[in-house]
Amino acid sequence: MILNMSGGAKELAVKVVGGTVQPTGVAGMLWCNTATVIPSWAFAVSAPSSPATGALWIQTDASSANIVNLLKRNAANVNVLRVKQWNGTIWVPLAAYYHNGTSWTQVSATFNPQTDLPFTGTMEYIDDGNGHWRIKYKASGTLTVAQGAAIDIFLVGAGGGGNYGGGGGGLTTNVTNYTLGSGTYSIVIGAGGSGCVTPYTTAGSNGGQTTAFGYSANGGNGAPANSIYGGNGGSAGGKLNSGGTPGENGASNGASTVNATGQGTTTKEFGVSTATAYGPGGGGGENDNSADGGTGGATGGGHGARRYAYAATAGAANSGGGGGGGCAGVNGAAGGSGIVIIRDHRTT
Amino acid sequence: MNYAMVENGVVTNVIWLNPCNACEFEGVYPVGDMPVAIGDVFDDGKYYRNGLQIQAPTQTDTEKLKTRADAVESAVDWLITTLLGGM
Repeated sequence: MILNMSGGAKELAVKVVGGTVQPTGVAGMLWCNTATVIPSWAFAVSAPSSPATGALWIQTDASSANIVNLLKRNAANVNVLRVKQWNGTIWVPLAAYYHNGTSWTQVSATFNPQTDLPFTGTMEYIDDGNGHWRIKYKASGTLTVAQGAAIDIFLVGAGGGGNYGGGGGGLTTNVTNYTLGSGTYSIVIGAGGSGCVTPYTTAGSNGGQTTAFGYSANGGNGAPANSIYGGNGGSAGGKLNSGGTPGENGASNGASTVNATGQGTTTKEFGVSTATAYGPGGGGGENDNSADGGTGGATGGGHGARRYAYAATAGAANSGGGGGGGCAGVNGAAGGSGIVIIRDHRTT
Repeated sequence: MNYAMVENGVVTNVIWLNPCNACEFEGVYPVGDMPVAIGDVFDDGKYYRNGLQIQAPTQTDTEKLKTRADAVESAVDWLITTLLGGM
């Protein structure tokens, strides 16, 4: 956006004002919509050092094709990228408007997660209403942060692979009120662990680790070798059964199963009780076609196999779900991939 | 698809990554259908576990079940045909 200061000496000056109510505009006025007192301001390409709380940074291009020959044109054009205010921790983008003597033109916007957080991998933006938002990162990639923000982070490791028992779900990590500064960040999404290579005698593979912003969530364990039990993880995998007993269901929301352990704390997104649970365990297999394989834990754990009837299913993509358990002659299935979710920082 | 993150010849993580983004990560190699896991050895483009090269599975469980079901069905057909034919 261009601040065009022309037509006389008085208009070459910029008057910066704050407040949350749009003032009566005069030529050269820059109104920044903020309730915080503005003690100082500066035009600068890079962030001013040691700013006082409330200080404004009117961020400009390093160079500009705009004409600044005052003698010839009696005008100066300044290309403003964004107007930001120091809140004591980060520079917060403000909505700002410039008045040219006739009308207001917006020259800066508040933080917009849809445009200020470009990502090279696979992602999904979710508008939660009332200014709240979430972004789900589903495949690894690079995040470029143009504007800082305070966010919450939720990471889920990938699910473990099944053997006879179901794979353990990926573990979860919650981070609240993280200050996301400008820069680039690698987001790594763990891949689901493979199901066992040889039924019973080889273990399912552990799920991959998910990492972002310096935090991590480990993958769930594969169901162990030479065992009928499920793998440990965020929520545990179920065990193989037979003799008319269905395979044990995979656990949900951090719970354990027979001989396999969950993380013991909620695996729900950001710990919100009404949110979706991640990292469910895979269901255990059933070994003699007298009952069903175990159901995968909610949401996304793989279903256990039923001998001679159906194979085990994989954990759902981006659920961190453990793979379903196999049975005699049938491999356990792969776990589901992990996920990273961020949202605007909230207190609830 | 799955990629292995390799450090000093050892798989340190297996990650989910679109092929077009692979160049953004150092030391990642495609896994394909092979059941590669953390701790496996990567050498000269091949993966090893306990000294044995890891191979892609030749037949999925669903395919195995279908093969078995087809075999059972054929056997039943043969029995019925033989018994009925002999009566």
